[in-house]
Amino acid sequence: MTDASDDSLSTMDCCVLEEHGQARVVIKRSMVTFFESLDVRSRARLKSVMKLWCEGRKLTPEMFNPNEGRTQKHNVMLQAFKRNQIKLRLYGFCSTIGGKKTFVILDSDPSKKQNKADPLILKRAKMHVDHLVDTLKSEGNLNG
Amino acid sequence: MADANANERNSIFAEEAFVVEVQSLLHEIMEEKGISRADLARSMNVSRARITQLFSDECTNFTVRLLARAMYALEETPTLARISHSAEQLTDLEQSSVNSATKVEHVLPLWAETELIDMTDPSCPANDNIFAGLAHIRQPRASFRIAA
Repeated sequence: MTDASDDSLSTMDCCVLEEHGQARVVIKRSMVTFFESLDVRSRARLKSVMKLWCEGRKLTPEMFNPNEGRTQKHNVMLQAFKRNQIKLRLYGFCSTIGGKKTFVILDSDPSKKQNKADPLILKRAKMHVDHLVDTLKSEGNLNG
Repeated sequence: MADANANERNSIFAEEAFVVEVQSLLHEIMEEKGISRADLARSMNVSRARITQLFSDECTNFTVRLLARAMYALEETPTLARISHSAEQLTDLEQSSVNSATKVEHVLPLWAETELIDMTDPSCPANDNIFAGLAHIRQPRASFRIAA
């Protein structure tokens, strides 16, 4: 886990999970402990998928869900990295932050009992996204 | 003991990295050619469940034979390459991918050999992740077909 290296990530209180070229996946610092508590294979799988995402490769529906619905306030598309074996989704959104294509992980659904997303957690994730977009916009760090 | 744990962890990271590379490559070819998973199952003469298993997280029973069969069904010929890595590069696979966040320009995939291969040679697959390179070096089998 690497601390944020630019101001925009500091504002967001995020750590970089994976980075390749002009793309990166960052995670909210409050979620780092949760991510590190996952079993090694899950972390390995998720980080490998994140690396592919950074490289702009095609991801299968088992790896990534590009459409988890839009947020109410800012109409941002919520997306998720998936680990089906342990029924885990890492929710976040993609934007250009600090000049880099950035996927920001803000929430997770670790106790998913079925393939359908938990509507309460989805709603919470979307609220987190809207809140963060507010912060980034007020700081002038969000493009696109 | 710590070394054994680190080695086991690195092995798991290497396994998962290769699995997602192969799954992504197959998915990419299928999208390119408009082939569904049901079509692939039919061409491979395996059950639809076997294809689901192939793309699953667990990815169990995904043998080299099955990969060859899948590539054949997709009218592609897989090409294998290898690039040696040094022990230092293997020290901590998980940490190295994290370090790339701060010095991404200088970090190579762990399976890349930095000393023996001329990284400036554009034809060298080690210029990037070897597995990512598979997408570019795979050859359409159709070009070797003999017209009926």
